[in-house]
Amino acid sequence: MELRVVFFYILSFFLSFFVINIFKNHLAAISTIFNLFQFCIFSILFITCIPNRKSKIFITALSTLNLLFLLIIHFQLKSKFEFVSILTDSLLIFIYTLMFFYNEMNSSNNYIIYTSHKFWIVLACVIFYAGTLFVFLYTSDMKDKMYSALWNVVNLIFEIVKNTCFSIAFLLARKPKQNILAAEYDDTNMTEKPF
Amino acid sequence: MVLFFGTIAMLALTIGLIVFIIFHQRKVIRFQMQLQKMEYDQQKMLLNASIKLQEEERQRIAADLHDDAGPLLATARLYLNENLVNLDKTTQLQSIYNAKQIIDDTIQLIRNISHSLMPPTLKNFGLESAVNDLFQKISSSGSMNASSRFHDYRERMQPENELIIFRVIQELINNILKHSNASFIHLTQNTNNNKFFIRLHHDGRGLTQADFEKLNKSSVGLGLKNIQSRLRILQGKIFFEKDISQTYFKVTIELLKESSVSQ
Repeated sequence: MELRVVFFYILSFFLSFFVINIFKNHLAAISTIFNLFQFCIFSILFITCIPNRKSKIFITALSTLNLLFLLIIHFQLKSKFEFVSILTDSLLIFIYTLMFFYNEMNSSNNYIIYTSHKFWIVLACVIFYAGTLFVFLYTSDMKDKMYSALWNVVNLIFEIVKNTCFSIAFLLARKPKQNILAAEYDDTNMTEKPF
Repeated sequence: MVLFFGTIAMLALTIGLIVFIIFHQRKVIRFQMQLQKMEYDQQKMLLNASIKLQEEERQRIAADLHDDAGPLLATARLYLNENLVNLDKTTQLQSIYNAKQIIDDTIQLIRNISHSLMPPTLKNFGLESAVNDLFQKISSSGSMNASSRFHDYRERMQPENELIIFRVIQELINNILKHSNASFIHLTQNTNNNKFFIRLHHDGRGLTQADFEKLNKSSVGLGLKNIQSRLRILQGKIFFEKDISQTYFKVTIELLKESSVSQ
């Protein structure tokens, strides 16, 4: 399920380039919409990656509240919207990441965490948000040419990192995960070596 | 500048967290693997002990049949040979009487073997009667004062569970008789909070829990391993301890009442 969401996200990401080309005059609005859309997609990814039902409900509630909060901010404090939106989105993604790792640590899965495709999906999200947080926070300084160049470089680097992580996730999803403990003490060994 | 350091700090924090989680998880898995290995070794040891004991039991039965029942039946056959019809009546009667005596002895011997495999008292009257019977036999031998008391045994357990507990008690008694040099053994049974307890007291040389665990891990102490593997079937526990007064040794068997009582 989570891989389908990733696929849909990547597809919409490519489509956004065409949309930007068509509506060149509304770049800021499109960027804001895409950021919100991206946050929603990442929230859905976390919902599908975390098996715990309570955590799923918590993430859904928190994300909905965040969207409502941003809606209010949009009408009340339009100038601060970009800043607040990026800050709350990033904060929530970090919280979800911690929840994901907490769930993974407490689960009875006996495979190493980085052999799971879910790990790479979460890694992609959190690295992207961690790397671009400060650059996006200063988006209002975009008029500065140097900042604009830096923004492009940083954004490009973390887009590449994010997409690499997603690619690893796709590759790992094909391989069946091996339970270390089960493999170490396979009962069939007893029948294979009669005494 | 803020932008650069902020981004670096955020990345360092995130990567640090992920690296910490990966290392921690590896550590946990390694620990679980060690635990599982220990459990696996312990199970292997118990299984070996159980197989070895089963083989010993078979050898004992085979020896009993071969050395005792075999010669007896061969002797009876000698008395009842074809030549018997040609002998005088008194000799015939004497031979038949002797053969009958030998066959009676053989029947008794086979009965004893059968009883040692499955005590009839246990099968017909339950654990309480079988244990009382066993203690009475020990007491009447005069070597030791043995007594047992069941305080709360109104419902009988499943027969196979009764047999397991009886075998455990037999093994413990056997150990006490062989190694402790005790002057008395006292057994009590009780229940408390859905748990079934059997406690043995004796005043000889005994084991503590540390000794028991040490023997369990070593290659010796076959009987103790057998006790543990039997109790594992019932999800039971056994505790060896010295009384606070330092005079007696206590062995407590703890079982879940639900798992052992017959439905």
